[in-house]
Amino acid sequence: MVAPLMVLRNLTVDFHNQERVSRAVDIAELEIGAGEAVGVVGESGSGKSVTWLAALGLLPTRARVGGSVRIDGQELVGASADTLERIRGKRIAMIFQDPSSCLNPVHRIGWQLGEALGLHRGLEGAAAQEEALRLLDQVGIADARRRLSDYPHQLSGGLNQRVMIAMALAGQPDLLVADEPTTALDATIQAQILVLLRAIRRDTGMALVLISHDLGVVAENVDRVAVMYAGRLVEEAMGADLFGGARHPYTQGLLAALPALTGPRQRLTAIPGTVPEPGNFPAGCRFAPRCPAVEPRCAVQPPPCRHVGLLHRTTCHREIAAGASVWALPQAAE
Amino acid sequence: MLMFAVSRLLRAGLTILFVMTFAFVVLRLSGDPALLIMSVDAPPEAIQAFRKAWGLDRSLWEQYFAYIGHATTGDFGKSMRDGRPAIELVMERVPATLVLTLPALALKVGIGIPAGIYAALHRNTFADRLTMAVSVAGFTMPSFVLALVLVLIFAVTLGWLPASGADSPVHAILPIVTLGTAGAAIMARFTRSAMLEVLGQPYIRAASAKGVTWPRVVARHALPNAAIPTVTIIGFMIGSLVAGAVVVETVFAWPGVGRLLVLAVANRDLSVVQAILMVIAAWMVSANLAVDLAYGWLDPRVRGIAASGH
Amino acid sequence: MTALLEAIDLRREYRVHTGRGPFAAKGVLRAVDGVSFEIEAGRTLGLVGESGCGKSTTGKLALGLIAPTSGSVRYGGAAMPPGGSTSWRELRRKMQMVFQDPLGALDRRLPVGVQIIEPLVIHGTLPPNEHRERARAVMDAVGLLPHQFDRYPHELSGGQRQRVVLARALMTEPNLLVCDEPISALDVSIQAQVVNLLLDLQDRLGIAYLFISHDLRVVRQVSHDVAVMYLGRIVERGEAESLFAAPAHPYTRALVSAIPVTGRGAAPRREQLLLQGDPPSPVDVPAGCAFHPRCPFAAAQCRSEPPSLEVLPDGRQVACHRVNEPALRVAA
Repeated sequence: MVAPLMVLRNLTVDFHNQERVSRAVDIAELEIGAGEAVGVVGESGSGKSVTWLAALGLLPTRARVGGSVRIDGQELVGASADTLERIRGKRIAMIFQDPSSCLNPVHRIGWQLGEALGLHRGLEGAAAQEEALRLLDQVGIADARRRLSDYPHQLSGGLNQRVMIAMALAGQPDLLVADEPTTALDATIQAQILVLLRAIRRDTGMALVLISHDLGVVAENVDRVAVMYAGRLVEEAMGADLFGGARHPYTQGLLAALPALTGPRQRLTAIPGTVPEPGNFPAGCRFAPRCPAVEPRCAVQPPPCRHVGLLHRTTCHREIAAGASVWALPQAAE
Repeated sequence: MLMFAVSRLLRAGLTILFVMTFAFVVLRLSGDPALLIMSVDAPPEAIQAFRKAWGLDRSLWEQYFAYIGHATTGDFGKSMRDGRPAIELVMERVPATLVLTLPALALKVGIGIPAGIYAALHRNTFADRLTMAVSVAGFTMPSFVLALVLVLIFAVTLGWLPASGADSPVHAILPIVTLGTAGAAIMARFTRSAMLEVLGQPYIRAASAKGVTWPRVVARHALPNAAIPTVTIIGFMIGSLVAGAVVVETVFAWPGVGRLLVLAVANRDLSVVQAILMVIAAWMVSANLAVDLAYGWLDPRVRGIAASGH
Repeated sequence: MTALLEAIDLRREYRVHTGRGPFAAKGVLRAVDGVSFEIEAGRTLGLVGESGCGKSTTGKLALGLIAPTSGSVRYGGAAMPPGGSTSWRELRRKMQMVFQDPLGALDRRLPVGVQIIEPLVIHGTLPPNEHRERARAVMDAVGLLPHQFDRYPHELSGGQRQRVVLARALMTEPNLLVCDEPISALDVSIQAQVVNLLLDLQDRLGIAYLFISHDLRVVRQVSHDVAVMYLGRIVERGEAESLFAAPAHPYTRALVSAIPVTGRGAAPRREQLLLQGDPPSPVDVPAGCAFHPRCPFAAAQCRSEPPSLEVLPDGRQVACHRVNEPALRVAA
């Protein structure tokens, strides 16, 4: 059994705001295998982005990170700035939601790409320029030579995201974390970017963590999916198993809340209540207040993590059978 | 770019004309120079002769157009006090003022900007709070109060520095410090907020995520962006190099343009006041123009390069 | 039967500078470029498209919030009075708008109850002592609790705020609600709540909706008919379910194929139509068919002649020169 590329264990992130401390992330265990694509799905307050910012040490100082994040055995939590700076971009690269504001407005594209190449591959001058052109070509940007001397505001959102991907590839990382990479883009451009990510993974064998609130985006582009709610991992499974047979009430609710583009039009299942905020998480199971299958122990004890199938885990007190949706029960009224 | 420069120059010219007109009207409405310069019990014929000699008996419009007409040839009138050309009087005092304001500008920029950057990088720590507290004290204190306090400490009590006059370089120290303090305080505060604004931008986090070391992120990613709004403030400070020392020059009896302005207004020496205001306006307008051009150099989005899409 | 709202060849242009400085070149931004549609009482027209297609502008034109450069809007058979006039204001009772950002649509300094009552105060349709009673009834209808009357907007969640905005819009018993991206800013689980609510309200109160969104799945869920916009023009119009099941216009086909599905249920393998490049700007609308630079089926005619909306035998309307060629129906 090959050791996984990245392991998150007992990862906690606490935010200190004046006197209050709120625990935004509380992950028991998550593994990413080399070359694997994992989707992380969640709504606002789920902690899906904070988890990976914490892993890379990109959170502000008022956030305290605990637990362990290892890449190939190297511990990242509490690592020195030096260590983290060597990992970022070179072993783990990250791209973000709004590409146009993630590029420095006063520097040309070529300069910004060149910075990554100089930093990670020691390339300068003509060699750097050649490699920059090759990277821009790899991400499907036409007229690459002219693009190198353009500024970010001269490019569209879709092009800027391609540039971000090119910069991420410059260091030849083992893992790319993509935080809502297509949310700010139009649907047709979104499709282009996702196709590009698939192609790059095929060519480089890079692992991918795709963070999104859009279940559809995740479904078509990853092997395995992890669902987060209020800072915790509630379900983890292979894509087909999750979408075909989710076992956690939240996942089931989320899937049933999505309108479909094909098939009969059905009334959507609305999960009652609202997503809790960090600092106001309920005791015990965090989904209990909204869950139609809730029992008294759910509000008191945090639920255990159990295996319910091959590579399929859920964090729930109840044992929900495959194919049975808790939302079909009579108490699932809105 | 040419169109840009031409339109800016036109605007500058209009501003200067407006300032001159404004000064002209206000001065003439505020009192009769003839009565002020000649004593009150001078005979009416003498006053009338004075008026005629200085063209004050003509209508306001005639005086105005005559003034503008002469101004275009470089003749800004003569001082009513001693008959010398007004512009000469002004220009010979400018160097004295610059001896104070230029080093003061160096102080403002040299202390204010690093202090602001430091405060921003160490936000909400003791150092940050201290810097900001000192800076608030610095710019809320009126300059003459600060001047007098400094004189009290360094001239009267300690006897290290002279209290007034302009005889030696040592005499310039207190005025320069007084001038520089408020400006440094404002600069620090402003630089801090410009830096904080930039540090909160997504591209800073993205640069860190790329693996760029923090010192480099600050120096090559943050500072060039924070420079853009900071340049506005520096522009104001450059603009007031000529006129910014009025109070300080008066308190320290420093023979610069500011002091001349105060004296000339008190004496209703119209041409001199107008000449000074025109010089100040021209200087400020040029400083603003320089700032506009600097923006174009610092911020590519301003240069007017249209988005090229595909 | 006369439609409730009729838009006839609406056009809206903006003069823009395409360069810098006072002597810069000027261009024309065609936000809406000849749009016509009808909405019948109690039914929903969905308006979809990507950014820059003009759907938001169309929504504002429909309400009379902005004046068209040319074309007209008819409400209840009569011409829409000019915006700002007294008769237009009276019409506002019957037509309301719901925006994307509920926090921005509410005054932070007033309790939400006061804001819900405000339309009654403005229009004076009910005596003041009945206002609170009515507000309570409407709040109940949208799923708000009575005690939330005194809350401030920032004390409520996103979903609750959007319900407040809806309640406010319903106070004068409108016949038409223009919803401009009403759920995009909400979490997925809350989106479902609001969508169900909108459908329930339509069932009970017979309100018509102009539902503007970039999210095709939601539009399909709530709409009876759908119009697809591209660069200010409607390129396809038809009944919602059949339009998404079998889109005819190449742009609609690309749009539908770009929507990822979660794969639940036995969905047949869909067509993949990937567009190249970025959408052009509405300042620089291409000649002929606006879509031709990105269309995989573009022919000579497409480059020179703008297509008009043709009605197909099944009622679908498509603006495409090559729509009747069977060979193109197969995935490219």
